Formats: sequence, structure tokens, C-alpha cells
Amino acid sequence: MGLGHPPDRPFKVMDTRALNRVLEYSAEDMTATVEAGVTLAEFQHMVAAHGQQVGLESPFPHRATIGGILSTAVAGPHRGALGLPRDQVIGIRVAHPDGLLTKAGGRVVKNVTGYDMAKLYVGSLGTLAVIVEATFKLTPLPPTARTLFIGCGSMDEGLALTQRITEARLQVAACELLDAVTQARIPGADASVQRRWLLALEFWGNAAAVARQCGEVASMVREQSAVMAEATGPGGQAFWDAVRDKGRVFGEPALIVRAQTLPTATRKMATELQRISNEIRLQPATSLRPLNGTVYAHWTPTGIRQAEPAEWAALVARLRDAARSEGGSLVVEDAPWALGGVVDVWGPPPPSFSVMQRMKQQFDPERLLNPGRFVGRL
Amino acid sequence: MFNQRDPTSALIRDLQAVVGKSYVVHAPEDLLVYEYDCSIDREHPSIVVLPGNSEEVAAVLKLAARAGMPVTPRGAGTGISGGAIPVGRGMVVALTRMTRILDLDPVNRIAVVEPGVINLDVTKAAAQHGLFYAPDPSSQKACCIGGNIAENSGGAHCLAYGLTTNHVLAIEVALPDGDVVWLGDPTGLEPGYDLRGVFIGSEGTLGIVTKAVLRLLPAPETVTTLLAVFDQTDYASAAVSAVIAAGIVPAAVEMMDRLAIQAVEASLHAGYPKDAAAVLLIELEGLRETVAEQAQAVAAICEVQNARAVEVAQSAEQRERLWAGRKGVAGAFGSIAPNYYILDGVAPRTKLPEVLRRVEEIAARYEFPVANVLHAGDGNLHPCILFDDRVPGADRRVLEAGMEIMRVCIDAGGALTGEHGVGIEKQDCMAWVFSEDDLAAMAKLRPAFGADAKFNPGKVFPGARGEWEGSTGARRIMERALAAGAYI
Ligand SMILES: Cc1cc2nc3c(=O)[nH]c(=O)nc-3n(C[C@H](O)[C@H](O)[C@H](O)COP(=O)(O)OP(=O)(O)OC[C@H]3O[C@@H](n4cnc5c(N)ncnc54)[C@H](O)[C@@H]3O)c2cc1C
Repeated sequence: MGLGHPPDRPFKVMDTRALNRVLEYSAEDMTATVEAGVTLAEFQHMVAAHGQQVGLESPFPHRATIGGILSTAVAGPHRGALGLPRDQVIGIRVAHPDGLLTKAGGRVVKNVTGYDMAKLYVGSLGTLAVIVEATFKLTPLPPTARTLFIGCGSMDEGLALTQRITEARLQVAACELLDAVTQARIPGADASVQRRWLLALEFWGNAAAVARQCGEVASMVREQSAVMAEATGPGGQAFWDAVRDKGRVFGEPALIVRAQTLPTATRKMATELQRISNEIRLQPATSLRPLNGTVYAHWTPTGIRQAEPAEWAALVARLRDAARSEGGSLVVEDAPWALGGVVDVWGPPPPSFSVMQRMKQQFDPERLLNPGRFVGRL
Repeated sequence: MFNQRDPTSALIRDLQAVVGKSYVVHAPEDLLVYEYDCSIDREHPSIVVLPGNSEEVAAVLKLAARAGMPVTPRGAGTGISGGAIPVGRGMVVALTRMTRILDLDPVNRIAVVEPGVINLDVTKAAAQHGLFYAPDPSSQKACCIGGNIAENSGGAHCLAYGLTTNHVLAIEVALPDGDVVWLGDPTGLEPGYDLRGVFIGSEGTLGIVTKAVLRLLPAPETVTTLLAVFDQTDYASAAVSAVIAAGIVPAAVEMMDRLAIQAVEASLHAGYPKDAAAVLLIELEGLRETVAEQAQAVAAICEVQNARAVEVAQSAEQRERLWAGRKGVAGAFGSIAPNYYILDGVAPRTKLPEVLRRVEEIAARYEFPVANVLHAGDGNLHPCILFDDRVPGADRRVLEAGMEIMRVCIDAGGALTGEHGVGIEKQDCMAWVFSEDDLAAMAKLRPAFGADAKFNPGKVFPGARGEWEGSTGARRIMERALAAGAYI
């Protein structure tokens, strides 16, 4: 139980790990149907044998199940290349609170038969129905992947470089800007490029195309007199796994918040994060995904004990105001038990909340599924 | 249920006060334009209202609800499956006046548009910034964004880029009761249920889109188009599977069979060999090194799969000519048959050879010629049955043949519709794919969005049309389905 408020009434935990079969895998059609309890690692392993991947990323892939990943639907660092979790699902089967099983979609990549129910269930934190099986479209694994590390003296230097990369229309598979605290926790980045900020870039694709793009980045870096190194061997993979995990340690939840705005507001959001956390001397590990408008802040369990739960709640509220004033939102992706029920995980419900409430009423009138855990305590 | 099918003069006055006199259409001869969506069905509305902005849409919906009048939203009327046809008459709300591009933000790569904006106009506006809007239904010169969202439209290039749902970040919607709400936000990641996602593809049965935030993509660095020519359709289908199996996802893989080629060459002269059994039009987009490598690989694969010839377009004109054939194919059918009925089905790519053989058999049994046009890369087939509606009983037999073909798609593990939607046309086939429980779960969306039986009645669900119409007896006429120049 990571994401979401604690349940607001006594609860039972449903374990879907026994639903762990692969029901169909057609490598030629690039589709696969799996039960909800299959872990992401098992799934990726199976399709990787055929040079394919499923566009999902999750911390603890050896434990994280497809059902869990789809109900939280959080994107990873490769969102630009892979899309969002909701984009991957072409068919779904769910169990309703009355025990009925229903399906929607199908097993073909292009299909508009009936309402796109998968969109409703994916990302609903299991509050409408329990996902028992899903069919995915798969994509080819990139033939080449290269990771570049660029040391930057300041956040602005990193953002300026990112902007040039965008303007040059390079096809970046992942782009993350990490502060010094984050760098200290993440393995892989070459010591020779460690500066106050680190811009990490990954390129996927045809070897020649990737080489040309790396070359273009190198000349931009030279012009800005920054320093650059490249990940070697499995270093790139390990680095991106760590970026994806955001310093999570299994069983020891930290406080992880994600602010989501438009790309142009990334800088402002990150600056606000630094200003607000400076004021209260609770500096987080900060990382930015400037191409997606995402800012992550991470406080360790030890750090969290240095302030009262109410202070954390106030901090989260202030950060959320900053994100909302840019037209975005802020979600608490992970929180230690001590803060459960104290910090507001989701913030004020969106304008369409009345429709969401009626949706909950239609699908789970007795509020049996994950009561109180989702947006607006649905 | 209180169901007002004809407007009272008081309602007409109230509507005129909201949208202006000239935007309320109720003279019978003026209503005719709104009776048709390129499908088999026709029914003219009792009244058509053309609001000019979100507030007017909301006010119109409130008036309709108060008057107990059924409402059907309508865009450009190219839907083909009957979604915009007002079953049992009532009010049509046409969004064609709402054609403003409200914002185009090249840095964040988003556009905010009204629902009546024509699909192609988004790309035209974005082009000055080197951006484009990816979903490209073949009707893109005519159809509008509201209709695209309602149908979750695809297009030739959705093989690589995905459907409308992958490119719409947020929508402003007037709910059936007249409340206006945003579903999603421009970041595409608003916390809460993905109401944006379930609304897209709901075929105009949950509310009216009044604004949309669209994602724009940078135009590809390079585009290469290949024409591969085959002496058997099976070879062409096998080549499609082989390309995908090689880990190559082209931007588009289109297929046309012998009859389609002959129709095109008779009127458009695109340069397809007239004696070929099938051609594939394969387009690769992206970085130049990738495209060059893939073009070579695709050509080699086609040759291994018995292509008689593989030609690479050498100039922009040649590429356009190859595409003009593909794009003009529906219009070209008009030159070889009095009428045609276009089907839209999906099969797993690997089952295409088998499915196409069955299509052939069925058409032969019914004694109709059939021309096949496919978005082959994603298994989406459009068999076009050619016929003459002056022959007594032909229209009924065409529909029967069509249903048999749909059945073949389903039996192959495919889908009832890949892009045209269920609408009126396929509602009774829904029971082939979905159980009553599946359909009941879907039906829950209607009350959740506040849509009662009077909001776009008679659509999507099995028997919906019959139930709603009762004995009003709509006309069902088989006509030449599409305008010249249209393509599917
Ligand atoms: C020649 C031809 C080629 C085609 N090719 C393709 C193709 O390649 N890919 C593809 O996917 N489709 C294709 N289509 C189908 C059709 O063009 C698309 O479904 C298109 O999106 C319909 O848009 P429209 O504006 O014409 O909608 P309409 O036909 O007016 O309406 C379609 C549905 O949308 C609803 N609707 C319209 N506007 C709104 C709104 N603002 N809010 C809520 N609901 C609304 C209507 O109630 C109706 O149910 C083709 C059609 C033709 C005639």
C-alpha cells in the first residue's frame, strides 16, 4: 500500500499475487495478456526474449505486480519514449465488488468497440473494481541505448541545455536533472562530471542516429563549457533504475512528492521547492524531468523525524499551492506511516469531482474498494 | 418518459435568444443537410442548433433538458456509423461554428481548440512551428476535433503514433445537464479518475466536447515512402507481419488489393501496376539514419516475402502521387460501381491472410465484388462491397454479407470496429463480443456523466435503436456511401 490515503474504515487486503499466469503472448502481433499478479520483471523478461518491451516502469519490478502498477499508473523516467501506463493497455478484465467479472477492449492494437473502460480502471487505485487481467501492446526494444552525464554548475545551466536539446529536436528517451543530494544517492554517474547539478540523457534507437545525437549534445556541452561523460556497460541501466526508484527502500517509505506542471513551469516549480524547503530547513533530494514538467522531491525517513507531522503537512500544502498556481498538481507518491492521514496525498479534488463521485456510486455503491484512499477520499 | 420530439414555438424562441436567430434551423428543407453521416442510415432532426461557444452549448442543453427534447451532438457528419444521426428525431446540436484555435503554445507543444476545428487545420496551424497533430483520419480535411474525440479516431499513421486518445490531454465538456467541466488538465496527469480517457471514444453519448487541449509533436526529420507490389494478397499480408516481426514499426502500412488498385488506376493513375494482386504503401518517419536503415530492411523483407517489385518514392511529388491513390480509393469506387458499403473490422495482423480469404469467399457467395483497403499495419481492414441498389434486395444482402465479414473478424480474435465506431450500424453485434455484464458495466458511465436516455439516444448498446424508436420507423436507405475524393 504505497500511494493513497490510509483507508477510512476497517479493511481487508486482497492479494492478487496468485493470479500470476501469462494468458497469451503473441510476439508477432506484439500483444500479451497477463494476469494482474504477474510481476513487471517477469513480464519484461518474457518479452525481452523476443526483443520486445512493455511500456511500464515501476520501483521494485521484482515485486511490483501489473495490477498494482496499473492501478497507480505512475509514469517512469522514460515517459517520453514509452508514453503513460494508460497508453499501453488494449484490453482489461476486472472484478466488481459484487463478484462479477467484466471485460472491455480486446486483444488487437486498434479497437474502438464500446467504451474505453480500461482508461477508467487504470489509475483509479482499485476504487472502482479490481483489475484481474490486462492485455498490452508491446514495442520493440531499442537496438542501441546510450546514457550521457553532463555536469552543470547550476540548475539554470542544466535547463538551458535541455532547452537547446528540445529546440534541436533530438529524440530523447529520458532526461533528468538531479541536484547534489540526489546524485550522492544514485550510483552510476561518473565522478569526473559531478557538479552541483547533473543532467542525464538517454538516447534510444538505431546506432548511427543515436551516435549523431550524442555528438550534437557533445558540441552543445562544449559550447557551454560544461563537462560530459558517458555511462559504460550496464551503468546506464543501473542509473536509470535508481532514478526511477527515487531512493525508495523497500519497507522503509520515504516522503516522495511529485509536482506536475507544463514543461515551461518546471523551473519555477523547482525554484519554489528550494525556497520553501530552505525556509524550514528541510532540504529534499530534488530531481526534475524538464521535458515533462515534473519535479520530484524526496525526504528520507531520518529527515522526516526532524519535524512534526503537521509541519510536513503544511510543507506539502505550500508546495501544492505552487504547483496549482501554475495550472498543475502535486501528488504525494509515498509517505511514511507516521505521516499517513496527516499529509494530503492528492489535494483538492478536480473540477469534475461530481462526476467522479457518481462514478464511484455506480461502480462501488457500498464503498467496499479502497474506501477513502483516493482523490477527495472517494 | 416525457419525450418532446418537435419543438414548440416557445422553445424555438428561447434557443434563438441564446444562439441568435440564424443559428436555429427548423425549416424542413434546411434540416435535410443534417440527416446523414455517410452511413446507411438517415433521419432528419426536428431542429438543429448551432451554438457559438461553451456557454451557449450549456444553455442549449439546459433548454433541451427542460423541454424534454432528445439531443444528438454533431460535428462534420462524416462518422459513417450513424453516431450523429438523431434516432427518433429531436434536436441536433451542431458544433461546426466553434472553429477557433484558442491557443497554440509551441514551447509546451500544445494547442487549445474548439470542437468544430477541422482536424487538418490543427496541423496547418502548427506547421509554422515545425509541429503537427498526429491523428490523421483519412477524412481529415472534413472531420472535426469534437467528432475525432467522440470516435477516438485513428488514421493511416496511428500505427506509430496511436489514436486520438494518446494525443488529447484534456477536454472541456458540457455535461448533458448543461454543467460545463474540464476533464483532465493540460499536463495530461490530473489526479483522479481518467474521465478524459473514458469520454474519448464514447461516441457522443456522454456529453458535448466544447474545448480540447491537444498534444503536438515535432515534425519528423525524414519521411520515406515505399511501394511494394505483390502477385498474391497472401504475400502482401505476410510481408506486413514480417516487417513488424523484425522490430520495425513504420509510421504507416497501407494495403490495397486488386480491385482497389484497378479502381484507383481507372480514375487517378497513381502509378500502381494494374495487374498486381496487392500493393503495400509503407511510410517510414523519423531520424534519417533510422529511416535509411529501416527502408533497406523493409525492402529486403518485402523481397523475401515474394514482392514482385519494391519502389522507393524519389521525390515529394512521387510520394504524394502514391498517397493520392490511397486517399482517393473510396471516390474511385464510385467510378466502377453504382454503390459501395464500407466495412471497418480488425484482425490480429498475423490473421490477415486467413481473414482476407474468408472475405473473398463471403463476397463470392453473395455474388458481390469486394475491394479491400487496409490499414494493414494494425490489422484494420476496410472491405468495400460494391453493388447496385437498383437490384431488388441488394441492400439487404449487402448488409448480411457485411455482418458475416464482421463475424469473421471477431472469430479471428479481432474487433468489431477499429475506427468508425459502433453507433447505429454495429450495435446489435456488440453482443458477439461483450456479455450482458460487460455491457452493464459500460452502461454505468451514462448515469455517472448525467446522460439519461434522451442524450444521443439509440446508439452503441444492442437494441438501443429499436427501443428508442419504438414504432416511429426511421428510413433506412442504401446510397453511395461517400463523396468523391473521400478516402477511408
Ligand atoms: C471518407 C471517410 C474516411 C474516413 N477515414 C477515417 C479514418 O481513417 N480513421 C477514422 O478513425 N475515421 C475515419 N472516418 C470516420 C470519421 O471521419 C471519423 O469518425 C471522424 O472523427 C468523425 O468526425 P465528424 O466531425 O464528422 O463527426 P460526426 O460524424 O459529426 O459525429 C461522430 C460522432 O461524434 C459525436 N460528436 C461530434 N461532435 C461532438 C462533440 N463536440 N462532442 C461530443 N460528441 C460529438 C456525434 O454525436 C457522433 O456520435 C472516415 C470517414 C469518411 C467519410
